[in-house]
Amino acid sequence: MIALLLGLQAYGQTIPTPAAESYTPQAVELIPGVEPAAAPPQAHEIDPRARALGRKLRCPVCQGSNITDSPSPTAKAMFERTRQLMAAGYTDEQIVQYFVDKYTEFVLLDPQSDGSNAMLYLAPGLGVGLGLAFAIWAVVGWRKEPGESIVAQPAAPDTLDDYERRLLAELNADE
Amino acid sequence: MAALLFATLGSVMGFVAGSRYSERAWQLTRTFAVAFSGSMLAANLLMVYALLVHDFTVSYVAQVGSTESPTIISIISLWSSLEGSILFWGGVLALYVLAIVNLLRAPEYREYAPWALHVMLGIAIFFSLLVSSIADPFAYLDPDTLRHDWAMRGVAETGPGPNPLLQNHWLMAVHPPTLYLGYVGMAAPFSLICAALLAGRLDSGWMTPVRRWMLVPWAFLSVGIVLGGWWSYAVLGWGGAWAWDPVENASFMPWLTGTAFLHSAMVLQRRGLLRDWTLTLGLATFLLTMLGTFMTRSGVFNSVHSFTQSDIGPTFLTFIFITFVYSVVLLATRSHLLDREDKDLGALTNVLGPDGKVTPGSLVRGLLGREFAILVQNALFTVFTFTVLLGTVYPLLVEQFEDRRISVGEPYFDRWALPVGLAIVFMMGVGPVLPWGRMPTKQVASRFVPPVVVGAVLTGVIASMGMTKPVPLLAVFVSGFALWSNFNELLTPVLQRVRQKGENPVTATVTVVKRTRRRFGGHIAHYGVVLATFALALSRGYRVETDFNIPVEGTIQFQGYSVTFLGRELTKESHRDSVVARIHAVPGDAPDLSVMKEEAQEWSETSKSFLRRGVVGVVASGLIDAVAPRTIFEPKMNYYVGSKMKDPIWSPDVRSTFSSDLYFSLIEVPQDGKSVQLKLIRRPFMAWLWWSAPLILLGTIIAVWPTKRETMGAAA
Repeated sequence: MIALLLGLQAYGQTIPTPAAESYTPQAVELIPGVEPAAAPPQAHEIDPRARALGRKLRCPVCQGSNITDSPSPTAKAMFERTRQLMAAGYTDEQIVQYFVDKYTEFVLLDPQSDGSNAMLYLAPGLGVGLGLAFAIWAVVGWRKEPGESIVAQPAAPDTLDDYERRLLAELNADE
Repeated sequence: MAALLFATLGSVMGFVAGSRYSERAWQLTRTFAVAFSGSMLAANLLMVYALLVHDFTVSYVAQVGSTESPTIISIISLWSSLEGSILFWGGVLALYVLAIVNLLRAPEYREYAPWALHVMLGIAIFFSLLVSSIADPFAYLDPDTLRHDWAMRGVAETGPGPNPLLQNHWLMAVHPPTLYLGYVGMAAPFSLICAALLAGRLDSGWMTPVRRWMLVPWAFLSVGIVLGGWWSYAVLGWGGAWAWDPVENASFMPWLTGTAFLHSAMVLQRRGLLRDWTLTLGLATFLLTMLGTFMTRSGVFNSVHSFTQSDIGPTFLTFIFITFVYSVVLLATRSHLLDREDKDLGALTNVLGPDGKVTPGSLVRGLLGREFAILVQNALFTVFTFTVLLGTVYPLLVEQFEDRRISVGEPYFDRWALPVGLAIVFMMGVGPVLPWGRMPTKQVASRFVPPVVVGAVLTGVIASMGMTKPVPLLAVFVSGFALWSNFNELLTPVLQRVRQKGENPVTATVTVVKRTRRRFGGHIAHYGVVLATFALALSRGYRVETDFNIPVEGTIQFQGYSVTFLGRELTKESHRDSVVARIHAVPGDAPDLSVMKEEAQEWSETSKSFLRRGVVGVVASGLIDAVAPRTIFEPKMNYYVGSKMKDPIWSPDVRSTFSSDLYFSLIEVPQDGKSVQLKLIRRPFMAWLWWSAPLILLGTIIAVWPTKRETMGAAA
């Protein structure tokens, strides 16, 4: 166990980013009519940012994969374009908008939450709410139980199997 | 060839459904059930034989067979395409039918037995029909027509062979059947539950087989899901195990409801409460597996798993619809009948009123009771299932009604899965600590402090290694918490025996485990979930990934490793050609080139000797790697001969140790051979994820293993 932990120590060191991991773009073709909204980022920031953003974009010709992970040529091209646009100083929002304009909202793996899509966010919320309501109802029902008869039979020994009784007995002995 | 067999089979089935009353009819039903299983299994064996001898007059063989395939590939071709997989589904169903027939021989199940087989064989009718009609794998093909067709499509004379993705890794021989055993097996609890509803009674004697037969397919499903993740990681080359793909979701949803069922069934058996809810979960689980089969097989969804697309969809939807209506009607019209009969469920806690009236005690008797914990857990699982279902089918709905196409993918699911998943694992730590009924408030501190401390210590250890992002750390804390609270439940009684009876720890452990198999099995399965949580938290939170272009004999630095590209080579096997890149990777500085080349030479010899030893060799080399990782890695690109897919299949290689995985994936090989494009990924603690599967399996085996006491109890 200790040896294992020692083996893990390497994680503590922050490893300097070698040159190969930073991205140096070629001449970038800008999006017509859209100015980059930010200053060009540091070279080594681009690649991780592009990978994260690429995971939110669907490759339109693949079978449901995102453009960072898919091996298809289209995905590779889209990913490369993402990196270029980032290097030129476009923000994540601008780049997403660029792809939506080009391929429709089908490319968004994280669907917009407006319009009827709101259901995607409201419905699970509603489920959580219902669950909570039921829990509160169950608790209130218990509180109202006449005379708290359950308390009279401490921890209801009959409901316990041998193992639990032993466990409880021991716990009581500890006190 | 065997079409005749199936025609008779179909009629046999029809007869069975009618004959379910008198003793004689029951005998007949059993005979027919066995006959069904026998002929279905025979059909499966026949198909395997046809695949092995490459009889191309059988349409399915013509579709997936290839004389170039190795024997093992020919066998697993059985489930590589639509018709074969439906046949295989039927074969697995046949196995479960046999098991249930055997179970139902016990006289105390006499009242339920005919009903259970009635439902089970009803499902069998559907699959027999599929196999003998629209998905008939045995249809006769004229050799000349076939040759003409192949020539038209540019398929080699030797036959197309199965989908390359399935040929690429040995896991494909294991993952699909495991998943099928899980999927199809859900028909067993479904039938048993329907039987209770049809018979109009449910006692705890019946709940025992229901739970057990939910547990068996559930374990297969769990293992199948983990294996699927492993396959994705080992084959698809993107370094991930789970992508919330529709088909993955399809396997996950019944797992969620099945897990919820297993827990609420405890409340049902002990307290006689949540009955209709538990039954609903059990029925829903089977419906979701059918939906899953439909999603995989219909081609409605755009997914890496859509290996087959066909017109089987409408038939399947009809069957799902019928099953759904059947379940709802049964529940609605017959569940009240159970009220009379189920008094022995939870009899110990029922409240005897002054007027002699028996009522079940109220469900929740305290926020610090296990009932409440299970209730919360059930609610979380239900919301989770619902969210996954919604996200999966939502794009289809939108397309139907609004004429636009949208996607719902990983970011959406992750957003829900993270909080809900963490809450579930947290509850997994809370539940086992709480007693049934209510825990006295003063015990709270003594019982919750140790798990919290363990969680905190684990978090501290991980943080001291430099991993300090809040969300992964929270997940680590929750894992530690759940780990200790489950472990403590075993430890406490063992220590107690040691102290009070002076037993040695080993005997004490064995005794405790023997006496509380189900509980202990549950804890082991929980450890599996803890491991998975821990592994996922860190391997996702600290995943690092970059693409490199490396020239021959060039070295790059990645995350503290020196990675050198030694050269590439082309290999040829009968069914595929591969481009292999030979990579040397070590932590720290790279040795001299000559040393590396020597190691490469050595490795190619050892690897051959391991491969010669088959599965044992592969497992052995994996274990050796975990302790002393090799230095030579060989990511490949495989080109399958005769396949329709012209794109190569990535075949990554992984340096896997206890603390982290280094993942090599070959993504491009320029023609000149002077360099190579390599994707490198580092994921800490990734390997721990796979260990959750054997733990869950072990837990289930311990829980399901028949005990003497149980056998006696069942006979009484």
